[in-house]
Amino acid sequence: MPSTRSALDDTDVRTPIDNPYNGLAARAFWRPAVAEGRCADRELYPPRWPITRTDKVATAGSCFAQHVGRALRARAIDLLDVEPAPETLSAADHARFGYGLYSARYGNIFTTRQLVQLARQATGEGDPSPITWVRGGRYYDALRPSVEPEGLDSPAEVAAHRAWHLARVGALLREMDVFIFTLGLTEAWIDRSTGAAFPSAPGVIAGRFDPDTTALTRLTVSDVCADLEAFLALVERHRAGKPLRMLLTVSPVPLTATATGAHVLVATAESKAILRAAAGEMRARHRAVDYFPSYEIIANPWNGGLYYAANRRSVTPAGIARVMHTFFASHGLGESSPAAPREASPAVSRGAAGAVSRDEDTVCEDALLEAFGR
Amino acid sequence: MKIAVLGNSHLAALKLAWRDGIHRADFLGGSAGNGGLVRAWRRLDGPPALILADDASAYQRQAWQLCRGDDRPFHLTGCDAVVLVGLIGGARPWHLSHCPIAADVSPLGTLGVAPCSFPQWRSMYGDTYRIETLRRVVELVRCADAPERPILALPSPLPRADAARFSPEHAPPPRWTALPPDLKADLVTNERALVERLGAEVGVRVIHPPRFTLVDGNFCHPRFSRGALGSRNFAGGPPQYGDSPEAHILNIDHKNRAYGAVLAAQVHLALAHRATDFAEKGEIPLTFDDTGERLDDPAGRDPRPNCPWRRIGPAR
Repeated sequence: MPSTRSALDDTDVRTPIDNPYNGLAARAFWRPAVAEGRCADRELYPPRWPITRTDKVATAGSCFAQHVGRALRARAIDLLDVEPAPETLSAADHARFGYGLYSARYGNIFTTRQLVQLARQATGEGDPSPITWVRGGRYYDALRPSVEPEGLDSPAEVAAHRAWHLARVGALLREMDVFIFTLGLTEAWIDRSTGAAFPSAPGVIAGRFDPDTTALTRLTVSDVCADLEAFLALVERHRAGKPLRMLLTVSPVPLTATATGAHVLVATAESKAILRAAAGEMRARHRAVDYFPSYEIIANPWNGGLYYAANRRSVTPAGIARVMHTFFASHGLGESSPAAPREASPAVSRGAAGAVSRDEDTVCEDALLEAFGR
Repeated sequence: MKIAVLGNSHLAALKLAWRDGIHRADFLGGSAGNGGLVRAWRRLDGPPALILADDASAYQRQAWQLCRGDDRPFHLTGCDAVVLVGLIGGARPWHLSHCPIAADVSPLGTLGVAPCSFPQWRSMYGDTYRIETLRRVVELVRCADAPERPILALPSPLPRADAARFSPEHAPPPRWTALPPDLKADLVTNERALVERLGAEVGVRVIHPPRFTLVDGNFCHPRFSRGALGSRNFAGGPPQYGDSPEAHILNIDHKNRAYGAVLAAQVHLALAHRATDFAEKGEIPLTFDDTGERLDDPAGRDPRPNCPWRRIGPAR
């Protein structure tokens, strides 16, 4: 017989099972998990599926993803690189020419619009014709202008390089088992006539900005999800059903600048919220999609900016180490000795980061926008 | 025509083979390592000339003395051309850069070699420090009163073809060895054009050695290493590098007087022909013995008009 006792009946003796919070792990509660910091890092991220050393992993995304790739490589994860640097190019020049940053030489992929565009071209489902920008008599692939910092000799050379690149990306999409993608921006610069999404606005690296030909598009949660859905569908067709796991992260690096007219702080908050919501949505929709909370580890306000450098934008090495430690510990991929997180007071961290706050080990074209600020 | 010839130890081979004729040459050598020439030489303006820097090393002073016989300035006034020896590297196509510029190297694409931009090739070519030295030497010898004066650059000689016997790192990589000869030849042509482009960026016209001196595209025929000359030979004397096994080990790159004679012929040809005519067609159709003496044999004249170089007889 069902109980007829009133909710106000203070004589009620509740059992542990009649409250959904009873029995939850400490990580579910603010006081032990955050205020007292009693939870292990790995509890931030219970992986939905494992990543092992035998998995072929590919990375792409915004600048922060470069750190992820580097850490994976250092940990002997089988990180795919379908466009390795020539043997005779010195290691010091690799990043300058876009080598070793990601699994292919696509440069930073800041938006999901870029990602799905690249996948379309690489799988033969999109027009692979290059869009060429010019600066100082040199020619740039508008879809990855940073990988040739001095440009190329001719549009034909741009086309040849792009054709090679797309073929390699096609192979990458077939080969990978796990794709780690770091969501970076929601402000996308779109070519009005072709719909092409650029990684940076024309005029920043090369080309010339013309509002009649290039438009700023602000991606919504629905847009980001639609792009990611399209990407997954494309890749699935390209791989003839071979399963793919996709790990999404959100870059904790704030916007360098916004073209929306809003304050950059407000624009950053909006952008991160959209990306974070979309990542959660995609995870909810697909078993093969997981989310890794690098954004939360770095950007949560209760850290007091612990992991940001003096410019309050660049992530410090300690922050990157903490992120990667969490990732590896969660996947049981061994402890990181050099990369182990070091807790430091914000003051110490900021001070120490002064020398490393320039993001000197990443290649990030959106940092160029800083030069346009007053 | 007066020519100023400046360079590092490789200058010795050219200096000792040179015969003043239609072109009269004045030589100045030193050690280019670590930018030595730039530190050792100072520019005098007025009538432009180079002098030894006050703080030049003893080695640089000795080199100057050997070349000049005294400490007198090296005048640039009235020079119709400047020739720089050994200040830029040669064309080394081993790395198989797929940076098409002069030849059809498209087979590299089908061989799975990624396309390579010129800036990337420039980085792979390396030698950044040497290129910077070259750039600064060019600044030293460039005169406002003769802005159009050609500056030719003779690259450092390629290693001797038997270098791998003494130095395993000179063994050609298998992927190069496996290429068909025609493709290798294309790659050599292409690589030479890339070095020429690099030289042009610095302001010099690169004059490559003729192909008959090459072995497998990356090496120089070992006959040019017998009795090789170095900076101790700036004033002549017995070859710094003999032909003993020890000398072989010590000397991978330096060449003999015969090679110097080849370079001299190249300089003459380069000065006689417009740059556009010269590139590949301008190779001298001459043959030499190992001493280079037969370069003075007037067995015939080069069939090309305006070529001042006397052709020698058939190879022995």
